[in-house]
Amino acid sequence: MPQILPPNANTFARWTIIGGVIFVILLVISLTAFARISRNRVGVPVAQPVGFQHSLHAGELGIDCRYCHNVVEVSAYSHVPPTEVCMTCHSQIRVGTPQLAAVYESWETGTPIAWNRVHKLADFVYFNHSAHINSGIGCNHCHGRVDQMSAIWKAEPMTMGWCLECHRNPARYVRPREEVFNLAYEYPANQLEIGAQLVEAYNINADALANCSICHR
Amino acid sequence: MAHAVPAATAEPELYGLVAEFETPEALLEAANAAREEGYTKMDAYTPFPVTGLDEALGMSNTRLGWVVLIMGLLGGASAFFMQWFAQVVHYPLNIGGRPLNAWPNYIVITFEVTVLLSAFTAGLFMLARNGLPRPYHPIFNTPNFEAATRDRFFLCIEASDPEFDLGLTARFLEKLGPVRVSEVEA
Repeated sequence: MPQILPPNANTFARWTIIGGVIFVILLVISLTAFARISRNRVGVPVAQPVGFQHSLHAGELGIDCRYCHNVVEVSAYSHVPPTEVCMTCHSQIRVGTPQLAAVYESWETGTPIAWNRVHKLADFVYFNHSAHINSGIGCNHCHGRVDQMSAIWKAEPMTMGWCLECHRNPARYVRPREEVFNLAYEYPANQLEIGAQLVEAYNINADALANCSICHR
Repeated sequence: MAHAVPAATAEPELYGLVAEFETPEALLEAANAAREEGYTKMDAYTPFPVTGLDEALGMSNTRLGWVVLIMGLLGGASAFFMQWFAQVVHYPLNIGGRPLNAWPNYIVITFEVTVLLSAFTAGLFMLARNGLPRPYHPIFNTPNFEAATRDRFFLCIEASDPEFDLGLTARFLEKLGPVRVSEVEA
């Protein structure tokens, strides 16, 4: 029985091993790269039944965030405004334009507009808007420059690692309360100093912020 | 690689001379004699480990033990570091009121990773050093070589040995009392 396999079987065996190792390395690299690129659909605009433009209402017209999202300072859940809020202006303004058809239909039939949600957290995550607003976390820190968005997309990935980035060191991101609704706010050069004072002033218990029960209650 | 030949050579290259023995004792004697004769590039092929054969062939101690020791220590250190980093630095949590650096609890995983990395190192370093898997080997060209895994013992003196001389080496091997001596092509 001399040789069962030809000499190039050695080459085949070697390249099978090398190829296997290369395959595993490429798999790991591409999966991490994919996760990084997709980043939980950051920057992907979501289609809506009404082509509502924040860039027009909040940007050009300068309407304050709280005109429509009016419970954000007092409630855990910052709601989407009902049709009535649209109709406070649009019963008089641009009546009959086709872009607003879904709003009038909703008004006449009493059926709410079926907005598509963009920032969806899992139901086992309890997020409280008012807690953040009153602790000096600005709208644009999490939602981006909404006043420049014609359609809404995620500015941040809304993953737990991203949440914890701030909960572990809130002094880096806390701003004065009166600047919370200023979407153009930029953190000053001595943010860490100011932030530390504000954390003290707003009674933020930084040590407990990363505990499980803060969000997963 | 050690005995590469110019591509133009038509003559099949000689891998070495192989002597076939019936008992491990005869092989051991032959290996000792070959070493004393000054041969260095030789190898023995047996169905089972023959005690003393590595010394008879003049093989130095393997470094496998040291590599396993180093990788085992590295595995243990990294396992301990991983747990310490996760618990103390990266995400300190109060779990059951234990101190953050509750090192007795880290020992189990430290031990297991030490064993895991040692075992992986032992297996993979062994394969890397002895060149397995190697489906084609010149020694398989030896007549009756399938008996090497059953009941025969082979001693091969390779042609790349500086002391190797086809006539002299063949006569030397014949004197050791083998069943047969064969010329084996690469």
